[in-house]
Amino acid sequence: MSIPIKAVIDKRILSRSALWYTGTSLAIAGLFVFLTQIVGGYPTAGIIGGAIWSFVLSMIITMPLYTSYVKRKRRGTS
Amino acid sequence: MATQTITLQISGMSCASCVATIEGALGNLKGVSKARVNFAAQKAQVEYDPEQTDLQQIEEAVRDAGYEVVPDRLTLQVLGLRSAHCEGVVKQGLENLRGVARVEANPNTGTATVWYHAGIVSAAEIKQTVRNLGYEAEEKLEAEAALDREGEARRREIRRQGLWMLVSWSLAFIVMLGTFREYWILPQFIPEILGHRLTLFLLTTPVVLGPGWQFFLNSWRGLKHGVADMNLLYATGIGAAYLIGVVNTFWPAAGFGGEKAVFFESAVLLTSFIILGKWLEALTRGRTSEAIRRLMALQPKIARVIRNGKEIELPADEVLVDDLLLVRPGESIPVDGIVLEGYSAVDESMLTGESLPIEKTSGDQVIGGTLNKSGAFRFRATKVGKETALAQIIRLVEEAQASKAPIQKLADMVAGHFILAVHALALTVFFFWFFVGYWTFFDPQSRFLLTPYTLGEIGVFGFSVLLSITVLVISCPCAVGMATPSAMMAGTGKAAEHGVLFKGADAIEATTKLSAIIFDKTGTLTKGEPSVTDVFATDILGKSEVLKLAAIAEKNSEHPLGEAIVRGAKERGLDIQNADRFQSIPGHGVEAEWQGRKILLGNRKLMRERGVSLEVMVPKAEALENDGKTAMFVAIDANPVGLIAVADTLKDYSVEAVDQLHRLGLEVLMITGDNRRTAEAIARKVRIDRVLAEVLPQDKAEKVKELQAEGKKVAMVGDGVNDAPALAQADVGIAIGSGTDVAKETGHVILIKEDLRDVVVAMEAAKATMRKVKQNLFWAFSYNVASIPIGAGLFYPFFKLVVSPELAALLMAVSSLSVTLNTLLLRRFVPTVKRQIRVSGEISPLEPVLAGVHSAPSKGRSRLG
Repeated sequence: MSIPIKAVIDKRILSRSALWYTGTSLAIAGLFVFLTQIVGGYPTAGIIGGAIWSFVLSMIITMPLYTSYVKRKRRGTS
Repeated sequence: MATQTITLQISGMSCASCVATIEGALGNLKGVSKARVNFAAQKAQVEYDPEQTDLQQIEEAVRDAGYEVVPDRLTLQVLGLRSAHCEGVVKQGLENLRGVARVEANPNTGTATVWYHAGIVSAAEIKQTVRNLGYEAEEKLEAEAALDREGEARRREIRRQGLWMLVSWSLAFIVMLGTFREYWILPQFIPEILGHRLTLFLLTTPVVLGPGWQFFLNSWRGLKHGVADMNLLYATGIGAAYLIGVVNTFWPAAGFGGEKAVFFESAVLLTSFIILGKWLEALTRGRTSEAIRRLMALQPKIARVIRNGKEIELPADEVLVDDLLLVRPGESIPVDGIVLEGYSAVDESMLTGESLPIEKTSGDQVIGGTLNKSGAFRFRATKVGKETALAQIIRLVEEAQASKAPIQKLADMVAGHFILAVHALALTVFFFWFFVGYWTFFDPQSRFLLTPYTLGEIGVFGFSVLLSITVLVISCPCAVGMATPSAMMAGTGKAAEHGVLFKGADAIEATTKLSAIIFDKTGTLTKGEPSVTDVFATDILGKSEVLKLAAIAEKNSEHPLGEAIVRGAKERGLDIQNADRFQSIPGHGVEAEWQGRKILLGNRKLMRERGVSLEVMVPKAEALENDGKTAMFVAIDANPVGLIAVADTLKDYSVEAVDQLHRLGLEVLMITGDNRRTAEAIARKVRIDRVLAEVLPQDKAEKVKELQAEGKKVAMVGDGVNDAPALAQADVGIAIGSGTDVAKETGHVILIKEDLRDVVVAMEAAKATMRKVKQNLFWAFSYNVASIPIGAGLFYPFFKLVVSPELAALLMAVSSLSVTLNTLLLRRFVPTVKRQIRVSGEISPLEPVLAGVHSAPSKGRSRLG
């Protein structure tokens, strides 16, 4: 019984943290696009590339942070 | 429920940041209370609750994080394993054994291969289980050849990275020729097609997806567990360079710098340099753990056991306690034991650092793993398997190597958060150059550092992302993470070679901070047994006669002073006959009759009571007593004939050791239960700075505490058993001459042999190790502090130079490698004592073979013998 329960918990942890880090990364990429519009004069390719690069780096930064945070929280309450 | 601790061999760790990945993965496992990973040793120590998790889940967590747990392998020839039924019985029986990971049984060949964790179950237990199942099991010799698992895993890693290096560097060379074919004289030799971006794409892709794929895979596995490691830096850097190349190759008008900014050479060289770094690191890393491998290699494989009157050869781990064993000249002693008959000289240098072979005769102890040099002897096994001195030493050294020093905390914290911090910095750098830097500072004529090539028409995105990638690649948490554990590993191993065992990395660090060192007197500074030091005779008899008569009187005495006199007389070759009558006078002395003469031996009070005049001898007696000696008067038929002084004598090298400690700037103290006069007499001889006299054994720890309250960092040197509380109270407890029971000793440092100079060796080894740790940390931090701002383009506005990602990768590899190479310099460490021995012509313990040929055996210099 323990393995399916563990798998379900793991899945919940993963999906909950995924929601958070993806959201945060999208927000940072959005901020990047917003700034390009404020400053103005950037080529479209640069804006797209920059948004993707910002998103990728943000994902890398936030993914481990959120995942371990949610796991710690889950372990603390279980 | 009690927790259990297991030590697992891990493979696949390529960088110090992997430590955080595995510790994170294990720490997230329910039931795991502590997970400690040592990159240098490639080992994980896991403390877990067996009711909540098990070995399988622990292994799974390690595997999920992208690494492998490497079990030991044992191949058994199983007699009677002939059918599928037998196969099932053997398999099931072994799989039920705790610590066995996997079993393969083959009824056709009659063999069973068992993968097991040596920290939980031993090969002997596995064989016994097979026997309990009703089969005969013999270890196949080829399994023994695979003893060095760690070495094998390392060789595999070297082979793997070597192969990848061959692939990546071959293709990188062609990509470089293609990329720069328009320069210099290259157009004359390099066909145009090689410079075409499609060709470059075809040459780069196999490098990124072949040798480079490991970084993507490992970083993804880490991210899944919420941990970022070094692979992530590589993967982001290589991936970004490659993707920009792909976009500019197939969609040059997309606006990412066009066909002149394909970056393929960056992707391919980046991969190649990183793999070069990994290959070099794997090549050198194992050398830091050479000492422990040398110790492991000492474990003998075969033993000659005499059972039922017949001599049979058995695997050494199957020898039982009380087995009778035979050792011939030139053979290794298989287990610990006591010599029953025969005579030989045994080279113990590999375990104790003792330079001369030790004489062994009936009643002497021998240690497994040492080398019998000259004669054959029989001995009875007293300790086998995990209990032997060698096994205990290996375990202690391994534990010390797996432990972490306090200084490592900072490095661990930095290395643990480094990757994310670098990514955050890369994002900041990208934002800065994209929105501000490019428009303010960019110059199309600017160049890559150390190349003549200009950046040309690179756009705002290309430039910003280039600097962002460089930041990712140039930073090196590996150097930070490796700095402490690699030096600790080399240092503990080197100290063990000289007979000094540190129980943990914290002991090494604490040893370097000492300001005072206390020696227990009896048994540590002195031999712990009184002996005759002076004989004084009046005109009536000669000195020998005085000693002989005193020995006759004391022959049946059980008093330590009496025993010392008898021993003294025997050592001088005197004939000691039995007294005709003997009477002990408690607290005063003895009275005896021999050949009609009345012998009286004792103190002043006894002599005065019997009317013996002492005028001539009293000044002499007082002088001896002022030197800390016990003077006993001898009278024959009520006439004073002489004086015998008995004292506890100093051990060899006590004075030398204390002098050396003074040279190291330590205050040296002596603690004893003796009266102050005796204690100070000894202290004067050894040149002790301060004496703590008349201290009862139970108050020694209190005295240590008082010194600590004075603000001193105190080491206590003493017997690991009797002085245990004081050793435990001291900042560093040094147990001396512990012999074959090293694991039972209290104390943070254990000296295998009874040579006080090893205290100095311990101090010097600790200092050398910590010096190396500090050098490594300084280099690693300095590199990162200097290189990251350069990579981020801090100096670009002034010099118009950019560090290319490939140069960044080369710098990163060099940084990591330099830490390992610096650590390897510890191999040259020779303690002052050993240097002096070399200069004075004695043979070094590092040259055991020569020692055996050129030097005469010594007797009794080690408590082991």
